[in-house]
Order: sequence, then structure tokens, then C-alpha cells
Amino acid sequence: MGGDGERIDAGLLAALGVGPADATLLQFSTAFCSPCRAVRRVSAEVAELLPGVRHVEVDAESHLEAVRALGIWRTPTLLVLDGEGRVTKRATGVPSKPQLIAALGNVLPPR
Amino acid sequence: MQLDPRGPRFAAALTTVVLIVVLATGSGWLALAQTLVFAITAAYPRSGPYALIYRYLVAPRLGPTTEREDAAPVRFAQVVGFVFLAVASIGYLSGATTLGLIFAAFGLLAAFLNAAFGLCLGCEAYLAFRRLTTRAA
Repeated sequence: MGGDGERIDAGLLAALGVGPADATLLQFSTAFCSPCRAVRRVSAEVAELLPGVRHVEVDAESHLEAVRALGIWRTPTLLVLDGEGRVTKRATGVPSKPQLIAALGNVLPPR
Repeated sequence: MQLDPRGPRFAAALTTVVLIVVLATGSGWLALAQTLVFAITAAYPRSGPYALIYRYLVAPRLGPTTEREDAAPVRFAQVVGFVFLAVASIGYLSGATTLGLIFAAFGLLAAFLNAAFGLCLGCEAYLAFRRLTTRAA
């Protein structure tokens, strides 16, 4: 996992279906990708567990422009976005649940 | 369509063995036979020759599984395998042995990675391929 802090253009986020949330798990998948299913399961579980976290899955093939803009080459790629649409973490492959929760811990506002 | 994920892994292992024999003997006809296996499996994932061997000879000894995987990635991998082995067959049968060797070796690498690690090379490369072949708007 590595972060890059880049802030995604608001129009691009809207096109991808990312709405307001404290944190978003933005997942890029393709129909031919088996590990994408595992990422979907882990992300959905984490989003259910942590309030304020949304999971958004995007079909990479139908959003090639976003795929280029965000430098995505492989699926699954999971971006952890903060409330302002900044990329705080980027994971290719299947992250573990504790890894995801830890990544979100740095993003979510203290409560 | 959903598949028992152990079936495609078994098929990849058999494919690995067949491709090792192709490379060892340089047999264009065996390469062609494997090309046909890929074509049939891509069209009918549950009725491919290796899938039938798996279902009737191997699966009964393993017991049932509740795990299922989508057929789409498997079919895509078979199409990629088909293209590589079709080129390899043409190479071997037309006397362009080097061409046959290179493409059969790529096919072997992909089949081996799938059999040993469950890694689908074609699926990994698919998005990069789409990025490079589709023009930016």
C-alpha cells in the first residue's frame, strides 16, 4: 500500500458515483478479475463496520478516462479517499481487513 | 455462469503438461490439439475436454465444494490461450519453429502461473491492454 495525497477532481468523483462521506473506498474492477470479488467482500464488510465509510465499486472498462487520470493499470485497485477526495492510500491486489481499517483510521475524523 | 474454481486450476495443470510436451517434441499437431481445447473451453466452459475430465474423474474424489467462481475470467483466459497457441501451431506447422517455440513458451508460462499460484496473467494484463488500445477522448 502506498499513498500519493493527490486530490481527485470533483467532476471526476461525481462521474464515478462518489458522494459525500468521511471516507470512501473507491474500487476499480473488471469483469474478468477474480480477486476483485475478494476486495469487494472485504471493502463492503469494512464499510459496514465503520460509520462514515462508503464503498464504491467502479467498472474500470467503462471509465477508462478516470483510469488514465488516476494512473490505474491493474485490477483490483483500491483507493482510500478522505472526506475531501484526496487519495490517502492506494492498494493493488487484495488488502486484508486490518490493513484497510488501519488505513481508514488515519483518514476518519476523531470521534 | 458459476464454476467450481478447482476445475480451471486442474485444467491449467493439464495444459502445463501438454505445453511442456509441445516444447519438448516441437509437435505442431499437439499444439493444434491444445488450441482446439482452448477454443471449446472458451465457448463452453463446463464442457471443455479438461473440464469433463475434471468433473468425471477428479471431482468425485475431492468431494463437494461450496466455493464458486464466475466463468467470465476463465473464459477470457481461454481466449488468450487460444490466440497464443493458434500462433504457435501456425509457427510449428509452417516450419517457422522459432515463432512456435516463443508462443508455446508464453502459453506455458501463463498456464503454469495459473496452475501453481492461481494467477491469471491475461486477466492481470486486460486493463492495461484496454488502456493502451482505446484512444483517449
